[in-house]
Amino acid sequence: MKQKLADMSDALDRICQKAAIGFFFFMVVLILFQVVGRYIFQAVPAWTAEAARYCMIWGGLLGATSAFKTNADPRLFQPPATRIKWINITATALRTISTIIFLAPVLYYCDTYLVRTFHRTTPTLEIRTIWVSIAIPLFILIIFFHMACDLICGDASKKSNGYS
Amino acid sequence: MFWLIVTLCAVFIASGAAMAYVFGTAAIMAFWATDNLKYLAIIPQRIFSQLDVFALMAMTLFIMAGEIMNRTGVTRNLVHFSMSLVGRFKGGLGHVNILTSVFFAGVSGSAMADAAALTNTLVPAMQEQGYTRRYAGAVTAASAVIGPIIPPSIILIFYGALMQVSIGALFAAGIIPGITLALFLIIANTFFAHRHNHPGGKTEDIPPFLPSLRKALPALSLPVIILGGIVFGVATPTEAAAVAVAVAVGAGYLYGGVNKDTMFKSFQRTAILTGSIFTIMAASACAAWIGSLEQWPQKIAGIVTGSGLSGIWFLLLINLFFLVVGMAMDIALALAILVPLLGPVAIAQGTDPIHLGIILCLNLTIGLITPPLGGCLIVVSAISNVNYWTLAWACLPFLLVELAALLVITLVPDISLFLPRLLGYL
Amino acid sequence: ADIKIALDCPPDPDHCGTYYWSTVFADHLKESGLAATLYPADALGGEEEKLDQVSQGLLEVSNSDVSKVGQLDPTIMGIGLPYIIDSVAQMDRIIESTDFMNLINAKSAKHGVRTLAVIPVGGFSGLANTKHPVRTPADLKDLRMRAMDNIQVQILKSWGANTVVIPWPEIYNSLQTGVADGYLNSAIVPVMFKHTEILKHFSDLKLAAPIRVTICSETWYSGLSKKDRGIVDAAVAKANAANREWLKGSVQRDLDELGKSGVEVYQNTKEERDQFARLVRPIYKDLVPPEIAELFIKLADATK
Ligand code: NA
Ligand code: NA
Repeated sequence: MKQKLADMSDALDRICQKAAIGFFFFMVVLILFQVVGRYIFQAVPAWTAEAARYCMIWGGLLGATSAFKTNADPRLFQPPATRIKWINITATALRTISTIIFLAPVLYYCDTYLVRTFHRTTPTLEIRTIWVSIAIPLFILIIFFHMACDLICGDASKKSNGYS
Repeated sequence: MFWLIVTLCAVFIASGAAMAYVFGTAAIMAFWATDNLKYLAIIPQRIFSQLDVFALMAMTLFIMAGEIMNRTGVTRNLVHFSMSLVGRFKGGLGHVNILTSVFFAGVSGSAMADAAALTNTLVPAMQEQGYTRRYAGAVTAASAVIGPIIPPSIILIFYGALMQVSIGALFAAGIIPGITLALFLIIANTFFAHRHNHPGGKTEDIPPFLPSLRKALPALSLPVIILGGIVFGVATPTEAAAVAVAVAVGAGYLYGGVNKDTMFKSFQRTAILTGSIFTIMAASACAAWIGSLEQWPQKIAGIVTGSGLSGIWFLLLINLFFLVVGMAMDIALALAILVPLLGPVAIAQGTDPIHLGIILCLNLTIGLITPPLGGCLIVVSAISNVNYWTLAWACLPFLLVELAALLVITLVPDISLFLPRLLGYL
Repeated sequence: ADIKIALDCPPDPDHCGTYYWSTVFADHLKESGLAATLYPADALGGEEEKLDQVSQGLLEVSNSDVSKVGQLDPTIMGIGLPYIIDSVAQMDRIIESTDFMNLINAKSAKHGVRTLAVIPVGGFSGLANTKHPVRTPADLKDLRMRAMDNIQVQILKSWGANTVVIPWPEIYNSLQTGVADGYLNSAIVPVMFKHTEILKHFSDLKLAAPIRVTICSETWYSGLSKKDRGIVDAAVAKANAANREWLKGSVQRDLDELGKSGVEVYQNTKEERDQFARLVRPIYKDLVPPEIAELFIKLADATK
């Protein structure tokens, strides 16, 4: 059971990373298309810059979940590395509380926010803003899922930094 | 209440919580402490708007270009070529790092984004030549401060529009202080190079010039295309960054370094680094908003203007104030709120508005490498994988040097005003 | 409770029409015993955020971009169509002679946003560029014009210009390096943003009234006591009157300041302007929904 949860968290992270990579790839392509369009075709569609920006937001927020999962976020002090159990438990509890205090209120207010952005359209791409704004609650939900898996599974989900 | 929040944050930091989450926690608690909980409803849009910025793409793209260059051999060949030029000087690559910042930074308007972009190529390159990571990181963070002073600079453009002074004059005014700052840093780098026996010097095996130039040609196209693209107006800075990615892939291909694995790893790390920085930006955006609502900057500015100080003492107090502001606030926002409040007072006391612009710009960016909160320090530490305090400590000598330069630039207006006068702006 | 008023430009009453409007508005509120605070531009967030906060009732009053409010209800966009009206006086006749404010607020009020005032911030917009005077659409052939959004792209294309969409903060660099050669705006804008150091020519095309809007939270407004709402309405009326008075002096002064800062101002003749108008009028229905285009064509004809 524990192992299964840990595997799910890892699998979700791999999906997020691949999706983020895809978004960033499209971002590069769109901006290059804009430069080429301006000089070769003398005209650029108005929406490329905006679409590229939205790719960045999606890619960056998915990347942020991966940064959380792989402990890549910068910190002033590393989590305590002792064998004394109560210190480790307290530290983990504190980190969990801090994550919840920051992100839970954001998630809580996302429902009405999504409704509002459903009624707005983006300036040049003319899609509903919700297709971008939904990345925010999704980013929080994924982080909460990773955090819960980590709390339940303990060592089963320990993963080193995702990059070297 | 204030101390309760500070204590809690200290405890969270000690537990190993990431900076972004501690900032975010502090911001949320500030909403609560100031009895503004209902305003938490603005946060999702606040975060969205903070990230939905065209110029922010330049950061992501430059990080990406750096990742690709590092993995495909482009960086190695560039460094090799630089060594053939500056190898006879001790600490030569440190100088290269500083000079790169002089030309390169300040285009995106966010010194943090510029630092992020430069760290990714320069730190691994210096490390490969035998510098410590922390020293390489410190030089990069410290020299990122020069970028916004030397044109092009979105920060100076912004100040010029706010204060209705000539942007051309501001650009001209920034050049000598920027070079002064660069010289100060180069002297400091030379000193450390001898003290810590950094690579370079007469005994070094200097790579022969022509062969390394030939090998570096594909790699050299990168700085040429990026700088040329921006200077000659082929592309905006953001577009130049995307072109840099494409050119990095092309050059990397010529070096035989482009394959599925290197590309995947480059994009993967770009995603994770950008994500980390996004979380920090989201958190500090929430903190800045509650500060704005409660008008904290205005209240502190009121203390500054009400201090009864005048002339040079008033300028020094402004220095101190903006240094602290630069640590915590977005530079453009800080300018928009504070310049209309403090600018007229300083000018009424006889400060030249051009001189003031240079001082403020320097102050805000130096704040970025000032612990405990300096944004550049956090970003450089994230990307270079150097512990925050180690980096801050390594950066300290440079910080002191820059504060000394700031003092000189504040006390001697002619350093800033000489060029604008010469060019007939004043 | 405190009435928060979010500004959209630096505190410069000479150049910035909305700032002047807001000071008159806030002063009247304060004189009548209501508490009001002006928040500097961007202090509470950009355009998107201010709209979001107003619609939630968390920000009472905001100086905002017309196209942002247009997201909720495009009716208001009709007044900004190029060459639909020829003076601010005509705009005011439309506002007074019709049920205009209710018309533009019908849909947006459901999203919690009410437009309190339509504020012209300078003379009718023209075309600024770095290369040469623009007399007729034919002069646009070799210019790459910066467009703000899809609407401007279509307007510029109807005249045969090349367009490039560039966000406002990158404009100075783009003009300096030639990524863009010019843009459409009121004469005061190049002065305010110091683009006069790069721009060389301004053609007074008298395209459309450069308008900003003051929006307020519907929840807040409808929750006001009868007395307080009276005070707010009076403050709006007073600020509107002050704005129109301010505008009289500012139109010529803006053009003078533009000329003084080294930009050559060209006054297009009626015939030249008609050439631009003839090309752009047929695409009204592409710029705004067709029924809105029709409505405003009718309103404009009735108030000529
Ligand atoms: Na620069
Ligand atoms: Na550097």
